[in-house]
Parts: sequence; C-alpha cells; structure tokens
Amino acid sequence: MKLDSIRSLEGQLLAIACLFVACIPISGAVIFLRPKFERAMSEAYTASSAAAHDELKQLAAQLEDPAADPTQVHDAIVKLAAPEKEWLYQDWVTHPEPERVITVARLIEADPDYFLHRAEQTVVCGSEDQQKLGLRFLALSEHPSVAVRLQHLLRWTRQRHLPDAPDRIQSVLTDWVASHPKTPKSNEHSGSIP
Amino acid sequence: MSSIASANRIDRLLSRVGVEPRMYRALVRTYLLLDLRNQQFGRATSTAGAKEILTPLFAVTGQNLLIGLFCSVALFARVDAWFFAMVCLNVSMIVTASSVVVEFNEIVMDPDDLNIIGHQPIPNRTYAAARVTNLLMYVLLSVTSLNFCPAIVGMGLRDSGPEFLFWYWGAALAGGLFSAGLVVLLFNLVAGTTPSVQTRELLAFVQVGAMLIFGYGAQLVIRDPRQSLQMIAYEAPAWLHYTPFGWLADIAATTDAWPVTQRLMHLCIAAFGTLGVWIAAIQRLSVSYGQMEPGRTARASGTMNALPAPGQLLSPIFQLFTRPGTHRTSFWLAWTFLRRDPSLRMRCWTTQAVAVAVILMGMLTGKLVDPFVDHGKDAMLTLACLYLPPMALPQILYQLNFSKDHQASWILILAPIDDRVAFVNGLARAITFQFIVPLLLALFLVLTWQWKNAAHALACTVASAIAVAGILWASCAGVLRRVPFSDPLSRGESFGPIALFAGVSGSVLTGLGFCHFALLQIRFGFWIHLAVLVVAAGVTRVLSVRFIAKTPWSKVLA
Repeated sequence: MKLDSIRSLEGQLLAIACLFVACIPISGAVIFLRPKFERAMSEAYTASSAAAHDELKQLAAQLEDPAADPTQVHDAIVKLAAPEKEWLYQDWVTHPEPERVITVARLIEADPDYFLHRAEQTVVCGSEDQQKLGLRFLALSEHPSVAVRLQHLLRWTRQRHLPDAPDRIQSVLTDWVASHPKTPKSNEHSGSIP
Repeated sequence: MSSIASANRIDRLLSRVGVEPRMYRALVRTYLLLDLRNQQFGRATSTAGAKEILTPLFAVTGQNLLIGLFCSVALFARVDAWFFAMVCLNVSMIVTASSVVVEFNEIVMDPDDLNIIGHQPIPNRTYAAARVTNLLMYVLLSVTSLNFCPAIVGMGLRDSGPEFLFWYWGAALAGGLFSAGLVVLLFNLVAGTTPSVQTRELLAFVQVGAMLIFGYGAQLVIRDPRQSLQMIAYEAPAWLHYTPFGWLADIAATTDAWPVTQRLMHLCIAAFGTLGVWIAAIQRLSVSYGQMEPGRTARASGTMNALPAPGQLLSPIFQLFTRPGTHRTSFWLAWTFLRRDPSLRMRCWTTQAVAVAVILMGMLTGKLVDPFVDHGKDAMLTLACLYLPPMALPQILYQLNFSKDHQASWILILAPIDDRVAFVNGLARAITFQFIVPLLLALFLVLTWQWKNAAHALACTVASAIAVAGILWASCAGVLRRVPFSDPLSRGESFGPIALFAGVSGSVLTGLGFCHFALLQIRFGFWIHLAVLVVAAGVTRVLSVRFIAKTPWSKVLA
C-alpha cells in the first residue's frame, strides 16, 4: 500500500477509524485498573512547614492537657489562620495513638464548621484508614450537626455503591444517635442525588 | 442486492423532498473530502499542508478523543456517575459549539462555493441538503470523538453499568447536536452573518487551550493532596440539576432512584428540543443559501489594516520604549508580522504553555510559597515559575525566521540596515512586549495575591525579568542568524533545529534555579543571587552585541 493512499477519502476515514479503535483498549484498561485508581485515592498530609511554628506546637500539646485553661486555648484556636488549623487537624490524624479526645472537643468547640467539614472531607476523599480516622473524629465530637453530616455521608457512599464505607458510617451513626438522643433529623437534599 | 435497494429507497426519498440524488451524493462526497483537507483549525495551528499525510480533521479527531480520555481518567473512581456525566457532557457541548464556530465557513456557509459550482445547474434545495448533511456529519464526528472514551470508561464506575453506554450516548448526542444547532441558529438569526475571523481564531485557540487545560488539569487532579475534586462532587449544589448539563446528566447517570420511564421522558424532551433547534436552523440556512450571490466571497480576512503614515510608526507608548530609526522600524516590523500572521502568533504562544500551566498549577494547589519565608523544598515550584518564562525565548525568537509572507523578504534583504544590533534588538523587544511582559505581569499579580506581599512578589519577578534579559540577548546572537521572516515553515522545522540551543539555555536556567534555591539558605542569599544575575546578564549582553555586530546574516551570505 502506497503511503499516499492514506490521503484518499477512504484512507483518511480508515485512519480516523483506527483512532477510535485504539481508544477502546485504553478505555478498557482504565476500567480494568479501577482498584488501582481507588487505592491511589488518599489525602496527603503535607501541611506547610511554615505553619508549624513553635507556638503552634505548644498549642497542640496544650490541647490535650486537661489542666490548660479552656478559654485561653479556645481563644488561641480562634485566632489561627486556616493553614495553622489545617496543621492541627493533620497533627491529630497523623498521630492517632494515644487517642486525643479532649483535643477533638476543644477544636470542635472553637471552630466547628472548619474541623467538622475537614473530617467529612477525610471520609469522602481519604483512603480506608484515613476514612476510619475521619469517622472517629466525627464520632468523638458532640456537635449537633454531626448526625446530619453522617447521614449525608451515608447517602453518598450508598449511592456510589462503595463496598465497606456505608457499613462503617452506619455503625458510627447508630452509636452516635444512641448516645445523643436529641439528634436532629435531616431532610437535607444531597446535591448530586437526583 | 439489499444495498442497491436501500440506495434506491434513499434516492426516492430525496427525490420526494425535491433533492436531486446524484448531485447530492457528489456534493456530499466533495464536501467530505474538503473537510479532510481544508480546516480553519489546521490553518490556525499550522498543521495543514498539501503534503501532509495526516490531515487536520485527523488531528482534530485525535485532539477530541484525548480531551475525552483526559476528562474520564481525571474523574474516574473519584466522583459518582452523575458528576462524571455532567462534566464530560459539559466539555463535549462547549468544545462542539466552539468547533462549529471555528469551522463555520468550511462546514456551514462558504460563499466561495458559488464561484466553483455557481454556474452548474444545481438546485438550491439540493445544495442546501448537501451542506446540512455535511454539517451534521461534522457535528456527529465531533460529538462521537469527544464522548467516545467517557461513554466506555463511565460503564466501569461503581454506581453505573453497561446501560450507562446507552443513556450517556443518547444524552451526548442530544447535547452536542443541540449546542451545534444553537450556534448555527444564533449566528444566522442574531448576527445574520458568519462569525468574524477574529472570533474563529480565538475559538481555535480556545480548543488548543482546552486540551492543555485538560492535560495539565488532569495531572493537577491526580496530584492534589486533598483530593478536592471528590469534595466538589460531594457538595455539588442542587441547582446544578436544573442546568442543561445537569439535566442531561440526569438521563445518563444510572441511579436506582430514577426509573427508566422518567429517563426516557427526559431523553425525548431533549431530542424534541434538539429537533426544534435544527428545524429552525435549517430553515434559516436554506434562506441564507438562497440569498448567496455568485462572486461574493469571504475574503474579508485578506484586507490588511492600513500602514501607518511615514514617521508615525508605533503608538506614543511604544515610542517611549524604542529608539528612532532602525530600532523602531524592526520593532514595528515584528509587531506587524505577529499581528497579521495568526499561525506565527500561535506557534509563539504555545511555547509558553508550560510556564502558564506551572503558574496555574502552583496557584490552584496553593503551593506557590514565598521563598523569602519558606526556604524548604516547597519553594521549588515558585522558582520554577520564575525561570520557565525565559526558557521559551529561544523558540519564540526562532519562529521569527518563518512567515507565510516569506516571498517578500527580498525587500528586507535589500534594505539598507546600518545598525544590525539595533535591528535585532528591536525584534527582540517586540517579542518581549508581546509574549513576556504579559506573562511576567500575570506572575507578579499571582504572587502578590498568593503571598499578600507585593515587595516579595516584585523582587522575584525582577529576578525573572533579569533572566529574561540575559537569555534574550544570548538568543539574539545564537538564534537570529537569518534574515527574519524569510523562510517558509516546513514540517518539523518549527522546533527541531533549535533543540540544541534551547537545551543549553534551558540547562543554564535550571542551574540558575538551583543556585537561587541554594542561596536562599544563607542570609542575604536572594540579593547575592540577584547581583549574580545582573552581572551574568550584563556580560551576556556585551558578548552578544559584539557577536551580532561582527556576524552577517547567513541568508545574505548564501
């Protein structure tokens, strides 16, 4: 076959058809590699080293100290910028042992929107282990919006047919509701659920 | 036997609607052949050429397939089927609409047709039918190529299945055809004419830009440490369901909550809407085809802007930055060539794509840390943003050797240029103002916005500007060796021969970046680095000026 024959109408149509055919195995490979895509899904905790100044490290230690003045700690957290709050959250997630219950309570008390949303994000975007930590963070918090957030997460994971996450969230939600009888019922419409 | 029977059936059907079957078939085949060889996109991106084996339509189809593939890979396993379908349909509709505008003359209305077939006894209805068939074929190819990969990959999502292919395909066809029909109708109804050359050129850039955005954007999504895309899908607002994209995605997404009848109803409404738009568009087009006059051509693009009066080259602002005489003349020459030759401009801008992508990536990921505050490895991306803009300079200057009007370069060869250094400097300054100054300005604004510290941003931008000056002088000596604009661009020549020089200058700039990083670790390191840069740029300038003054243009010698 002469190379010039590709320039004919039939040759060009054949070349274009070849492009389409080549895309079939590539797209198939993407589907086949779905477990790898899902495993790659995890949050990288790389809070800027600039945020971690000495005062912040001191505050992180004070958070778990029952003797520390709660008002002082509260005010210190409120004054923090977003990267510094992020550093505190990442510090909690990356050092799960021993569990710092008071830290969670104090963080949520100071800025519930930021820290609850951040934990919710970990459940949505994190790996399996990170999801567990995010759920633990939510389970330890006493804020009334936790139930709504957990219900939203449950709907989301069920809708996506994720394998284990709905059971984990359901279990946390049941425990949380049992320990907080006055749980608000959510009728919130999930954005992407038609 | 059956194919002959079906052909006869189609012929009878065409005859019944007043279309001459034989002429119709010949016209459709000719238009298809022209589609494969003559595209605005190809001209704008200089991929068209009589000797090329792979024609522009092949490149456009490949580009569309890549856009679809990048989109699918970036979204796969991160979002639910609804969000996946919504984004892919969104991209498909926008790119299809823009490509119809870009190719408007070739696929919708080409007044040149009448010069070629005006004297033939072709009925108006047959011509209109052939034109509309050609337009539909083009739109279908565009929609198919854009949605081919998403339709397959979408089947592999956890919350979808094989039926996704069917529903998504229906939604994609309805969406793509609707957007293309709407563009044709709007241009015909509102503008009453074909889109301007500038509009088509801009949209050709948009298509290439879309590919760069999806290419680099996909990497950004994959590398995002917070996986924010999932959160966007998780928190997608409810009103998105009422947009055309969301509405179509409702059809495609396979959720248990949606019964088949409801989806079919949505699909039927979308199909009827599309049909309505196309009926209106075809009616308008038929009227326009009937009004076309033989001899009327679309040669508006051939009309050049008037040349300035003698002694009035350039606006007062640019006169401030140029010296009278040779310097100003060469500045004006390069500026005018860049304005008149979209292909030249396109080739120059594409060399800056990496710098723009890295700056955008840094901005969107929030990784553009202030090197005066953070001396760690996090500062590397910021330093890359500083030394990438000058890296493209050798390629940009090299492009000045080529032009579509190269046959007129004898005027330049015979021109009495007394000061060659001033001439080359004028060309380089035009390049700087056209391509580098906007980029550095954008860099300064981005850094100021990110760091909330204009002084630090200015200091870093100045470091980049000094590197630009040094590389610019070196490139003037090493790259501008031929009479400018004197060569036609042949395939592969655009970047091939410059690779060595670009590689060396790139290595020097990388070295400067590492030097900058190393000096950040010591006190006053940045200022020491700035002083080194100034000295290096100064030495380069002196050596380059000597070299340029002594070395004649190789083309003249030849």
